[in-house]
Amino acid sequence: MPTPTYTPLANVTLGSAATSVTFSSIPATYRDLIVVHSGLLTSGGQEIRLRYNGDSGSSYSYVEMTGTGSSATSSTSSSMTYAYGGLVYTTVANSIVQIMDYSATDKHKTGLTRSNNSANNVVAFAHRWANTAAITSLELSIGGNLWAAGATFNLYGVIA
Amino acid sequence: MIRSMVRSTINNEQWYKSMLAGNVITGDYELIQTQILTGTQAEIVFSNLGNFSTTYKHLQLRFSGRANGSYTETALRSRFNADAGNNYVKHFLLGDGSTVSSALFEGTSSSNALTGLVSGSLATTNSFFAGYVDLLDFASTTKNKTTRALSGGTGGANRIDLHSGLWMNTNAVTSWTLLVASGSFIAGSRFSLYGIR
Repeated sequence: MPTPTYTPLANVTLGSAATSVTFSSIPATYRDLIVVHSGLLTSGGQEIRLRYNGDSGSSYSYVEMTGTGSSATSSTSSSMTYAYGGLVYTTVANSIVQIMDYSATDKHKTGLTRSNNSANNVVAFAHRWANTAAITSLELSIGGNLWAAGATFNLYGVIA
Repeated sequence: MIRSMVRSTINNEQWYKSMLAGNVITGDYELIQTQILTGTQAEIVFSNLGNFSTTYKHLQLRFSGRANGSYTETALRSRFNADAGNNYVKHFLLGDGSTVSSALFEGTSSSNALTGLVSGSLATTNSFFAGYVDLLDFASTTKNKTTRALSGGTGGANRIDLHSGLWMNTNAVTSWTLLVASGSFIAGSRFSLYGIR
């Protein structure tokens, strides 16, 4: 018998500008997490930074490819203190981050993102947190910038 | 069932009503089967999908995979209804950290659809490439079947890929086989199939 799944865990809508959002006490009930983000910055443009379980060590790596409308590029980096999980600008951008096997304890955590902003680009990311611990908290931050009020962050759990 | 989750905070511990969490199960996206390997396995097969042809319109595969072949990463290949003929077309758009490339394989040379990447034995220990694949209108008997996927990972190789696949057959999909060109999937690899109403 199929099992109902894809469960909303938490929804955040910013009432005022903010630099970060944290989902904590994430239960190990599910296999995957999905973060759906829609929002814009008060100024500038910035990658969304992800950290798991409060780990600020050099435990993260990423690879991305970007299409700007005139060119396609790719970049990568390792030993970072956060992973990239999307891009945000002063016009509305959307990102969906799929964090696979977040509750498993036998593998590093791999996440996949599709992010788009019609004024700038379309981007896909893969990132890895080099840690086998189950993810219990997730922080999204934006460097020195601010998300504008109204930005939304939706967290879902997927059973497997 | 109400399962209130989870504490959500915005920078300096501000709280908002919209943080309140509910657990609404809509039943529109449902788990059909998960296979988590406890040993090596050459193929993953989801069978008897005809049982779900009137329940679901689309299928989604979610995976974290690693194989034991001597490579950093390799293609996750799909076959439908055990068709190993040259009846598939596949495109990809690949970012490897320095360049973006694209290619097409079709017809006489393609006996499978490309539906992602899994890491291999030369990848960083405990690194499992991941992905998700949509198989659209899988039960239709009037159209060829198409897939789309986002997949990738880091560790040994750095890859982010968009894939599309075509199975040039109008039969309803009744089985979905996953394999790699050489080697087997290793323990810990996980493949979950979902139905979408």
